[in-house]
Amino acid sequence: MNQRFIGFYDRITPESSSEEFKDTIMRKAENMKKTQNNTVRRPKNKLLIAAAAAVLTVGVGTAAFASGLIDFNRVFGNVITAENSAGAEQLVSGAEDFRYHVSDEDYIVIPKGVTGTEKSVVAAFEIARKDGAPFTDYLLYQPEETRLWSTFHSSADLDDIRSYSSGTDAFDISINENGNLSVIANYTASTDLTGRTIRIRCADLYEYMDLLYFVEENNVHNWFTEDIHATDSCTPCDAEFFTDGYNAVFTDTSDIVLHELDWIVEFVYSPSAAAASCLTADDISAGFTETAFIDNNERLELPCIVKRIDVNAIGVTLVYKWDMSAAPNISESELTSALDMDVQLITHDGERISTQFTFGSGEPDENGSYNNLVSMNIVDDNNNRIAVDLNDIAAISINDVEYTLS
Amino acid sequence: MNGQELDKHIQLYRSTVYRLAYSYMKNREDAEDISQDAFVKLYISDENFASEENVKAWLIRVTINLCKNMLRSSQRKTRSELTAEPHSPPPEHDSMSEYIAGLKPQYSAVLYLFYYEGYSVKEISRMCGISSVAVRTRLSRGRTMLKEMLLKEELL
Repeated sequence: MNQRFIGFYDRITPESSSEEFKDTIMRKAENMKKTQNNTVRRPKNKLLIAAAAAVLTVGVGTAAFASGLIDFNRVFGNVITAENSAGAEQLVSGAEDFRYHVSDEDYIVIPKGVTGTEKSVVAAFEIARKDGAPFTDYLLYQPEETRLWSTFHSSADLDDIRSYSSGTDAFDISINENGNLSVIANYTASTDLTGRTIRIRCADLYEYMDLLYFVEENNVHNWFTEDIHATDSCTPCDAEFFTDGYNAVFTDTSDIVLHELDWIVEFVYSPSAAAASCLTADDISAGFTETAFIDNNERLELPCIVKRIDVNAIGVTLVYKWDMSAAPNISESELTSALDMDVQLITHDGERISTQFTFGSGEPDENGSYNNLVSMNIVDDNNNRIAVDLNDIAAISINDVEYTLS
Repeated sequence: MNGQELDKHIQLYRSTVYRLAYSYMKNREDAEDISQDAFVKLYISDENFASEENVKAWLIRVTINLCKNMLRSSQRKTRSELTAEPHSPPPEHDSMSEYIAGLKPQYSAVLYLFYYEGYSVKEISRMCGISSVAVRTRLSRGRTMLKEMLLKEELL
């Protein structure tokens, strides 16, 4: 298959000559310059930019951000220069809309800062209770380059962010019945998606599940409706799509990622907030085995090194790394997880409670490599999501290896 | 960037950009448009690239964004609706071109970057702005889809 695939692309070559191609580029570039010169820029939101810059000049990661919940050192790393750039302006201006549309009167959104470069910008906002107590943090970011991506595991297009910030009724935030943050994003685009309203409701965002992308990748071919009923799993993120009367429900975040709904709902759910109601496995020295597929679909039972196991009332987060020393002739890039892990919670009475895979991602480790990160929902026998009392939970079993939780 | 540098980058990367755009757009007209726009962005960019490989990665990233934008745009929809004739197929039209045309862009693009350009999963994940797991998933599903299509062909 590979030979035919490669052979096919060998034959896909441009038809115009290099000279013609270059002439077209020069002409387009010239036209673009003329257009830009004739374009009136929006007035800058000087107040917000100034406030953001002032915060940043105090120093990221120091007392200026100490009251926030987010780990700004982790997020921003060494890229801490604030730029009064077009991208920054766009993001911080977007925060005004964001603030305006917060529906729950008990909470407020406070722009905290913007950082980055002309091409790669992050804006951070704190969501706080009205009495000033921080609740969680929110990030919008726009990396044109890949520099910030490795920190965030993701990226977003500036155009997407513009769509977000110029959309109507963009975000409503409230606290759901489980005490978790709920985001309802109503997007009625004035350009690409005229007449179509997409509503995405995110609830129960887990610790470290710090990004979700929602993008309607191709409304022409309507891809996301093709497989929309193919899944019946439950996840922490339910999305409802209303498309010209069509009402469908996404129940699987992996589907949302699969369909590239990278549509600017990026949440950093505060680790410190989540830590208050989270069990962890302290002894993770024992590894478990996971089934992976090699490129040729051959199965491989691969030992896994556990990095972290967290359990909260509604889900499990598992971070692990494949032990590639067990397969020295295989590159990690050739492997695909079978995603068939059997993860069960065990109560003090010995009762077993099921979980169901919901989200797979990666998390950079201290060596610049990547760990596998998977999230599970806690479910009943009918695969309906449930919440458990963490006081009842004693241990977790992963592919028949048990870990004590505390 | 001056004209001479532009020349050099066109020689080096035009085919890569064109093929990647083709893997998304499935037709030569849009692939050519996207290629032009990607190189225009490069030409007017004030980026300081540390290496040639960075130029290539930057172009790939820009190309992906342009393709996504075009796929989303109402302009494309209008053009598709107004165009009476279907997009011209590759001159070497064969079953493989039909199979690749049948693949969703997110699969064909990842397959192209992995198998043809030889990028690693991590590199692709950075370029496409998706997780490594998502890249692996797309590779696996894309391969499976292609295999199934090819198997059907052999059975016929």
